[in-house]
Amino acid sequence: MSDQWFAELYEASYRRIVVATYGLVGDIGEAEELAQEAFALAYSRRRRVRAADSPEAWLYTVAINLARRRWRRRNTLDRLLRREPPPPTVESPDGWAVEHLELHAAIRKLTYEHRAVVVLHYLADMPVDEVAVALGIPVGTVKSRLARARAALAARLGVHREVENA
Amino acid sequence: MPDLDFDGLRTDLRDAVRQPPVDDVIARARHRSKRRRTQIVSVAAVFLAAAVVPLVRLGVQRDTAPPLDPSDVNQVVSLDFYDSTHGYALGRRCESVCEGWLMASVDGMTWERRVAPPTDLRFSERPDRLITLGASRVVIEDYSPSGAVKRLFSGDGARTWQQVPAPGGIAPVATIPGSSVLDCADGAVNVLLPDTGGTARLTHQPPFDVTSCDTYPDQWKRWWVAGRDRATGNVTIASSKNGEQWTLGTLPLTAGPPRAISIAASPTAVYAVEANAGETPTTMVAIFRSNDNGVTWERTWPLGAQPVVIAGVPVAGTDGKLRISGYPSTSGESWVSADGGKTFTAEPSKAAGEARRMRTGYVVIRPDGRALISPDGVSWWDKELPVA
Repeated sequence: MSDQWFAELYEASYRRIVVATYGLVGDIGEAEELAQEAFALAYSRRRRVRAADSPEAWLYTVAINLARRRWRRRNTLDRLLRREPPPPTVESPDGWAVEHLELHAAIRKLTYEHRAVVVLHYLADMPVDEVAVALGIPVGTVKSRLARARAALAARLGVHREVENA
Repeated sequence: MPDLDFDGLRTDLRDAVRQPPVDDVIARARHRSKRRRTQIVSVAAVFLAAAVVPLVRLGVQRDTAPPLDPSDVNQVVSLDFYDSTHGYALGRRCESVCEGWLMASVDGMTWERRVAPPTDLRFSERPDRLITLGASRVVIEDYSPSGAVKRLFSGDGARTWQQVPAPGGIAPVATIPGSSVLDCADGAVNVLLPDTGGTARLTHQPPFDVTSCDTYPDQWKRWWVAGRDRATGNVTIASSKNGEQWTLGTLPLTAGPPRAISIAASPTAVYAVEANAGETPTTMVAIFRSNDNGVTWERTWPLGAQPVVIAGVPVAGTDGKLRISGYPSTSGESWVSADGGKTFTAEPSKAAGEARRMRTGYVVIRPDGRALISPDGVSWWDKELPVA
């Protein structure tokens, strides 16, 4: 089995996997660590992964499962949240537009359930039905959470701007 | 509505991602495989020792289950005590795959391994729940990622298990047996029967659509449920000693979406905490207090800067204080109210975390595998499980 195939998969999919995982853990650095673990697992099982219908979907599933496991282990999540700076500061904000910083901060303030569907659907480009499969919830639940999350984001950003303009 | 520029943010995020060389990931994979082989060898050695030593000493083999190793991959999922001595803990151990475990205590201090039934160990929004229905009667509600629930019952101290048939075909019961628990569904109060683990509808229903049930009775053996009056839409609280008659009270609550109501009873007052339904952790919406056993209610919260996102259920101590853990629990502090739920101050607490109701009081399960148990909501004792 050639490592070239794995290198191409890594090059093409790594950033998308990180962004998807970020939706569950709320921290880019932690998402990078989880994505690298997922790719390490994929390399260990590259024969099976290459035979899969969609190696990238396999990676999504593994990364999301790793993130969920960490999410369930509250101590780890709490540790992550403790060391996070308060929003809207982000790890690499240089060059980001103000509205992107605000949107990013607002997404991080969403509940886990809402943040997960928003990031998987809007930022990781996963269709609603794939989000449902990835999170193990009905499609209708994904749609309702997306609607509520969008409303929460809009309200939060709208309030923020009114305060700014006051 | 503000413009939500997800496309732009997506581009920024992808640009912010640091991508190490693929060789680093391959090296990580090889290191991981090496570490995994070492772990397998270690576990095999421990298993061999655990299996062989008792055989050599006793000449009999009593338990073929592999031993539990101290590890950070062990999780306590649910724990319940039937009384001060008989308790059960359900957990899982995950490495590349997960396996469930179940432990029992008959003296309140030491734990021994029993048989864990086959459960769906995949992630689900609702964690599996273990409920004691007697010293040797236990039920496990096994939730799958789709939200479906399978109920398993053991009548012999978690040594053998059988799946409880789907609800239906069981005659209603006129009273709530003392060792049962409540299980609301379809707007009605149902009772989990201690002898079979089956569900029976309660004959005398409260006169409203029931949306929330407190699983266990309070310290004074009162059962509490909440819901909406069909005619007025008012949120109504009801309590009963045995399920035959209900005492009703209405919350001074404005109309809104259905929310979850948790009841916490202390010697001096009863609290009803309203929170968003179906979220974990959840957003607290309001606190109500009753000084006449749930007949009249006064709204005491929100006021000022106080906990909003909370973990677990509120804890009403016998000292008259109401304690709530905020989420995330980063500082080892709980929110404590000494004025009937009007104002809260943050106080250090070793029990800061997701509190859950138990038949004998409250339990907080910490991520390190230790469980803190309190019969009165004030004092907390460590119950060390041999999995941490």
